[in-house]
Amino acid sequence: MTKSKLSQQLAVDNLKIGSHVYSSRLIVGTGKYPSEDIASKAINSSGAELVTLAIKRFSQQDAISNILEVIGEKKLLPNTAGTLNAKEALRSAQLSRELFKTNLIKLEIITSSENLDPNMPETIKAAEMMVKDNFEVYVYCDRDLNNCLKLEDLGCVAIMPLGSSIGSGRGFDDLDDLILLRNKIEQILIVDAGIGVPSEAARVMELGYDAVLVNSAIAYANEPILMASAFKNGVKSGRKTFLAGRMSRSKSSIASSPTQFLK
Amino acid sequence: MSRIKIQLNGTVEQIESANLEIILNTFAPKDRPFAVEINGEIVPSAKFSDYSIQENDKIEIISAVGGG
Repeated sequence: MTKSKLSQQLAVDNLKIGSHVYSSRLIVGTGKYPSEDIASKAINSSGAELVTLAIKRFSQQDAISNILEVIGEKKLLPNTAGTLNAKEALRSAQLSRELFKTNLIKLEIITSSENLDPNMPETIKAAEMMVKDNFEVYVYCDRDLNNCLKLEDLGCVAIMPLGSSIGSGRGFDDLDDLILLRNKIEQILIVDAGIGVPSEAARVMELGYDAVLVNSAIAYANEPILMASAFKNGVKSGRKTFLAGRMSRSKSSIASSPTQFLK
Repeated sequence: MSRIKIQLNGTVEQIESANLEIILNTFAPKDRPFAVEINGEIVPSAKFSDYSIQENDKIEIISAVGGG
């Protein structure tokens, strides 16, 4: 990339997913914060423009908390959390579309309430149904190349493999899987789940991932507002590194200073 | 007046009016958006005032919560 092209790209390094354009490459979740006030400040501190949220039956006990007020003016990415099959996920997506007036959906079908890893056969089935129903599908999925290629072919706007188990903070169970996916998948790729610290977010951004989605790592930090800001910087740093292009690796040392004194 | 038995968010309720809008005035949130599903079908808000509930209908009132 020439210098002028690179400066142009850095000046307007927007992320286009489906029909929407974002200037931030950090997507944040809105669950598990210690308080509404901290959630609101952390979401703002992250610089994220797109935030995930969930739906549930309304109960009077929930009436004191209104997550939409906490979120403020952000684009909403409702998820299908808690669903176990394609039929439930489609129902969840349609309810979210009615509730939030958006056709964006984070498709997330878990294996069971104890095992939150994606149920891939049902996820693939649901993706096909949702794309046909005019949703822009951001799909939480495993790291299997064939599954991700299938989801790309079906027309999902973002493929979101898990780094490691949801809420685990383990980082990456297998970074080589993620590297392979980046080499083979042309569609938007986002790491969803498992990231524990900003350096891990930076690492996948350096590899050319388009964005990361983080919730627990911010919400469970000792200081969520500060951690949100750290993630904002980590994602930016990783993205700039990817655009700048890392130096090549060498097995031996290569001097950056004269190797002989006063000669 | 005869009462109508319905299931509302998984709980059995006895209601006096069959009109959905009146039911929602009692059970739905007033300070935030919500969506309504009856017997598995989404009911658009424009139809609330004309919608009549039947005995044993299953009503779900859905609202937003935090999530990742």
